[in-house]
Formats: sequence, structure tokens, C-alpha cells
Amino acid sequence: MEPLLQCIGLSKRFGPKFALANVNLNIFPGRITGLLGPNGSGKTTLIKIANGLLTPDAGRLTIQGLNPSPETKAIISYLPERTYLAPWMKVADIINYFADFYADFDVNRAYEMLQNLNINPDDRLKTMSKGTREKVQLILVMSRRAKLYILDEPIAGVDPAARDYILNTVIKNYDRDAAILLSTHLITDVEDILDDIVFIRYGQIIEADTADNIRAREGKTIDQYFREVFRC
Amino acid sequence: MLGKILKYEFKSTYKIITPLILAVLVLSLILRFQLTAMDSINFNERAIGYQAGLGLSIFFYIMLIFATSIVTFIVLVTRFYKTMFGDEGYLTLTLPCQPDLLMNGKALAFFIWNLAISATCILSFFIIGFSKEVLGFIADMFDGLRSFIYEDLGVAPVIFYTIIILICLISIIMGIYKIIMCLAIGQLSNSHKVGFAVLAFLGTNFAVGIIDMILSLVFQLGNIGSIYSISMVIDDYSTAFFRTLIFTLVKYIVYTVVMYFISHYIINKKLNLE
Repeated sequence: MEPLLQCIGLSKRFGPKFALANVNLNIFPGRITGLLGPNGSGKTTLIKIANGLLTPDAGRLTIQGLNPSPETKAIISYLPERTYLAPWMKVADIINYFADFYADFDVNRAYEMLQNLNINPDDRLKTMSKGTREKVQLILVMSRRAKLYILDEPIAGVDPAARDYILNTVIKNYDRDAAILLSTHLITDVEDILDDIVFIRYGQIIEADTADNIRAREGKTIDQYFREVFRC
Repeated sequence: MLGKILKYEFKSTYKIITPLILAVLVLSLILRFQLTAMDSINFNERAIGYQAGLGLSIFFYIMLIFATSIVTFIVLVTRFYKTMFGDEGYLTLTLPCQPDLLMNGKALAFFIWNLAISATCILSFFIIGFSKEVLGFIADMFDGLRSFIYEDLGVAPVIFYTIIILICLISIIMGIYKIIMCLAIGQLSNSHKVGFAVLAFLGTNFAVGIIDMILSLVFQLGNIGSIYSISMVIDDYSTAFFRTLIFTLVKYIVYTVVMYFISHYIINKKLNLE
């Protein structure tokens, strides 16, 4: 099976410090991959390169064989770790914005999820709590019928009750031939939905295997193993 | 895609800029009525209240013109910065279109608003001062200019006007790309992005000033304002005039192209979002 996202010798430096150092990685369709590592390990740098927000210093990152470009952006649905929506806009305006720019955006799916979460489409983002704004972003991202969903810390800013809804939303809404790359350090909450695990530290991949293999080999949960590997 | 980019640029800015434009036009009408009322009554009867009212309107009018220009500038620069290099850049720059198209779409919206503000000022002038006498004065002025162009410069007026209009338009475009370039340079800093953008702006103006001075010395050419001194040197007024106009136009085009490519390079290769 051809990888959907492939990194070959990918490196990125900020000044003298390597944020990514010779990263080789494959993400396959139909899999949910957890990109796990402590703060500053290079997760967000990798994600930014995949989304064309940074250019690598060496190596390649391709999506369906293509370098990051408008063509790859059209098939990636990206949830950054911050609020990227204009606060003056109404939710309905933002839905129109996504529908205008993304051919794969499903307006009905978005309104259905808004209704489930009791979010009024006529509310402006600036009147919402941080958690609600994050839910709106997630709804927008998961309302696309993308080939690759890249979710950077999707549950970090919401309460535990909302986390379950968000994770269910993620699982329910992605097409089975699509892939999800999910970056987080809240492993307990996401462990059950992950198919593959990638551990990253100091910009290097230190472990990449299926979640089942790691659990069977180590006799531990992914969370326990993570704590052991990244113990301070 | 350009149409969609423009749609959202105007949607996010019209609510602030359009009321200002309308306010300028409404105040122009008020001024017009006040001036007409002043003309229709005898000098002796002109009450102090009329004069004070007129003075106040003129004061507000001038303030409003300044405010419209400054607010429009701030709104457009802030919008560009936030949507390209702020948090909103994470959405804007992951839209499925070339970063160049985003940059140029925003620059085009900037340009169109600039033209709209200029057109508003001209329209406002006509609203306040429109009369047969003013029209006659303008017609006389253009007649004089026409004979000057034909007789002293020896060229067709259409060529002269085309060059002048091109210089005006290119100078607006150059100003826009200068701002974009400085914002792009500023975002390269990991902290104080806005401060670095301001420094880049001051540095660019300084560099352009130095280059202008060197070019003037080397080619004995300068800005439109220094035509008289140049004509003294090369002893031919019309040649000096045209050389300076063409030189200015070419210089603005070159500056614009350089600023465009620096912005293009940074936005495509050196993005540094927070």
C-alpha cells in the first residue's frame, strides 16, 4: 500500500537547533496515527511542513507523492493548536468561507454537528468561550471529506466531557480510506482510537509501530510506555 | 479563486471603510449647502452663527479626510498582517491556493480601496466646488496645459497623461508592496514582529532615498519635483522633463518588482508563523 504521507530524511533547523533531524515516516490510508512526544519534540514543526507553513532544510515530505502545494492543501484538513478563525465572524459566515474554498466541505454535516453541540450558527466567535471556539474549529475540520486529517492537540483546550464528543466526532466523520495524524500529549484520552504510534523526541523518530504491537511487546498501555520512555 | 479572496477581503473591511467614505460625501453636501446659503444672503446679514457653522464643517471635513485615509490604511495593513502572519495565517495559508495568489489578492483589495478613497476625495471636491465658474477654470487650466504639452514639450497630450497616470498607479502599487515586504521581513523575527516590520519600513525608505540620490548623481536625473534644476544642467527643458518622467516611471516599476520578489520569496520560503 502506498503511504499517504511520506517523510524521507526530513530535517528542519531553527538557528543552530534541529527541530527535525533526518525524519523518515510513513502514514497509511485508513489508519489513525498518534504523533506523540513532549513539548518541543518537533511534532508541530512536522505538521507545519506537511501543511506548507514551513519549508524543510533537507529531505522531502510528500502527500500522495506531491510536495506541499495547493493540490495537497485541497486534500488535507488541518486543525492547528490555536484559534485561527477571525473573531468578528459568525459561525455561519465561517461555514460559508469553508464551503467557498474547500470543494470537499460538507455543509450539512457541519450544521448537524453544530446542532448536536447546541452551538448557534448566528453567534459570533468573539462571544464564545475558548472551548466552544475549539469545538467550532473541530467541526469545520471534520466536516471536510479530506484524504488526510492533521489534528494538532485537538483536545488540549476542552473539558474532559467534551473530549469524548470530540474523539467520537473524529472517529465517526472520517472516511475509511482517509488517514488521521493526531498530535497530543494527553495520551490516555486518545489511546483507544489510535492504530499506529509514533514517538518523537528532539526532532527524531524514536519509535514507530502499531499500538497493538507496542502493547503486546511492552505489556503496558501506550500511556504507561510513553511515561517510561519520556521520563524526565 | 481570486474572486473568492477579494470577496472576503471586502467583506472584512467594508463595514469600517464604507461608512467613512459616505460620511465624507455627506459632509461635502452639507458644506455645499452651507456655502450656497452664505452666497445667497447679504454680507451684512451673515450671522456669526453661519460663519461658525461653516468653520466647524470645514474643520470636521478636513479631519474626516485625514481620518478616512489613516483608518483605511490601518485597517488594510492590520488585516493583511493578521490574516497572513498572525493566528489567522494558519487558515489563510493552508487554503488550497498559491501563497502568491493570496498575497496579490490582498494587494489588489488594498489597491481598489486606495482608488476608492482617491475617487471619493475628487468627488467630494466636485460636490463642494461644482459650479460653472469652477468648470470654466478647470477647462482653462487644461487648455493651458494642453498648449504647454504641445508647444513646449512637443508631444501628444495623450502620451503625457498616460505617463502621469501610470506613475500615479505604479506609485500606489509600489507603496502596497513596500508595506507587504516590510511586514514579511518583520515576521521573520521570533519576537517583536511588528517592531521589526517598522524598522524594515524605515530601512527601506532610507535605502530607497540613498539609491535615488546615487541615480540622480549618475544620470543627472531625479524626481519630478527637481525637473527645473535638471533642465538647468542639460539646458533643454522638454528633454529634461521627459527624461525625468520616464526615469521616475521605470524606477517605480523596478522598485515594485524588487519589493514583490522579496515578499514572494519570504512568503513562499521563509514563513515564520508564531
